[in-house]
Amino acid sequence: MILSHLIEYHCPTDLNEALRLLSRPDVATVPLGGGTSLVADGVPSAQAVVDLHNLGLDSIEAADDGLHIGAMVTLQNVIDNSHSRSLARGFLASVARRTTTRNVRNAATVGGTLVSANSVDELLLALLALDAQVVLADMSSKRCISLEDFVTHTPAHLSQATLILGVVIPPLPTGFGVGLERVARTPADRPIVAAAAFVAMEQGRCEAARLILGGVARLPVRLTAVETRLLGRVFNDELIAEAAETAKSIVVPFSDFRASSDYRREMAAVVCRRALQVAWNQVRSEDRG
Amino acid sequence: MKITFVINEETETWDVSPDDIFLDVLRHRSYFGVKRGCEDSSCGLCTVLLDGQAVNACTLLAAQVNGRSITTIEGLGTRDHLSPLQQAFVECGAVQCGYCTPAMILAAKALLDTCPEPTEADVRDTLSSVYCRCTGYVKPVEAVLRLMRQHQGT
Repeated sequence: MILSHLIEYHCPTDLNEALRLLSRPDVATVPLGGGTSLVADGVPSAQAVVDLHNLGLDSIEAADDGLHIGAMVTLQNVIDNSHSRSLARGFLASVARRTTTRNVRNAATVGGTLVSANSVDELLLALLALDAQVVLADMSSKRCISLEDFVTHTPAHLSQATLILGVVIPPLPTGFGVGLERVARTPADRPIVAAAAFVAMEQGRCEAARLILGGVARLPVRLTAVETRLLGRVFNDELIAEAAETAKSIVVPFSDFRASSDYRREMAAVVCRRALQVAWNQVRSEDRG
Repeated sequence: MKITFVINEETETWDVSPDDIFLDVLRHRSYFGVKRGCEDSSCGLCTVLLDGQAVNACTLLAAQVNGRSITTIEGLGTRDHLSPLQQAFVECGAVQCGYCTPAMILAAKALLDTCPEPTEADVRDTLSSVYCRCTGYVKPVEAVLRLMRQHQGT
């Protein structure tokens, strides 16, 4: 039994009670979202689970500071909800639809996506490209950190007594474009390598850029060196090709049964180029109105 | 611990352990419509409806079902009176070995209940939750679309 030590199940209605349960030193307690990771993979040492279902973390709200997506919002909710489905011209919803099957989307949560921190999870890559912020709560405080910081620094150092309350996607500037391109064995398979690109342009010049690459390291990688080369420049095919080559030159991908390091490096350039192209095309077609 | 929930429109209270997986609990209680295919949410053969949404019972703790509503294939139709979806599957020849059929029917039911006029892409997206090695999905997709058109009166 993969959860063979599990002797307690809790389903609190109060966030502080959930945090209290998670911070007990004598009982190994883990949070439970939809179950599609926790129950599938098992946590052999877990003695107790705290089901987050009844904490009111499942809403999506549009506010002045951005779109608030609760940690217990399911991937299917992201697709169906009227706020999230229109975010970034439908980018987030279409990415969520590609991640996994309907049955799993009905149960898997946005919070779970962050915790799993899979290098090729397209929703994670998309959220990183959209500069999502993560709202965390522990017994003493609520705080907000960038998703980038959360993914790179937090999971291993998170005390058990911290919960993700949700993410906030800041308002998008005018003149933005997004793209997410991937290579995989089949269209429905998980990506081998994928890149998510966000650009904001002002009169043809790049004002902001975020380029996130998955499938070259254990976690998604933000290609700041490539972004720097794009800032202030006028976009054209040559610039995009230059960006792709830069990406290829700076990544040192791992090899595994899915793909060799060489393949991942070659594909990094391809997906970066394609993602930037799609993002730029979006900006131009919006300009043309 | 006890879970109290609605299953196929009947309220029941079951004794379960915190580590019990809902798929196991169902089969132990003779709900054999759910199949054990992968145990990690890959195959969808253990599909049940949880508050009307198709989910995989193999990654659901029995405890999570407390206070919720469950539909299994045993709650749809009878031998003498098949449900409309079951009838459509039979008429279209969408059943070969039958192993995936309960899961496909439930998944399709959840789709049609919330989206009465799905596109073919929606139907394919729904049925791709369930592994089928026999049909190539051709007839199952046809069956669902056929039922939808019947409802539309075309």
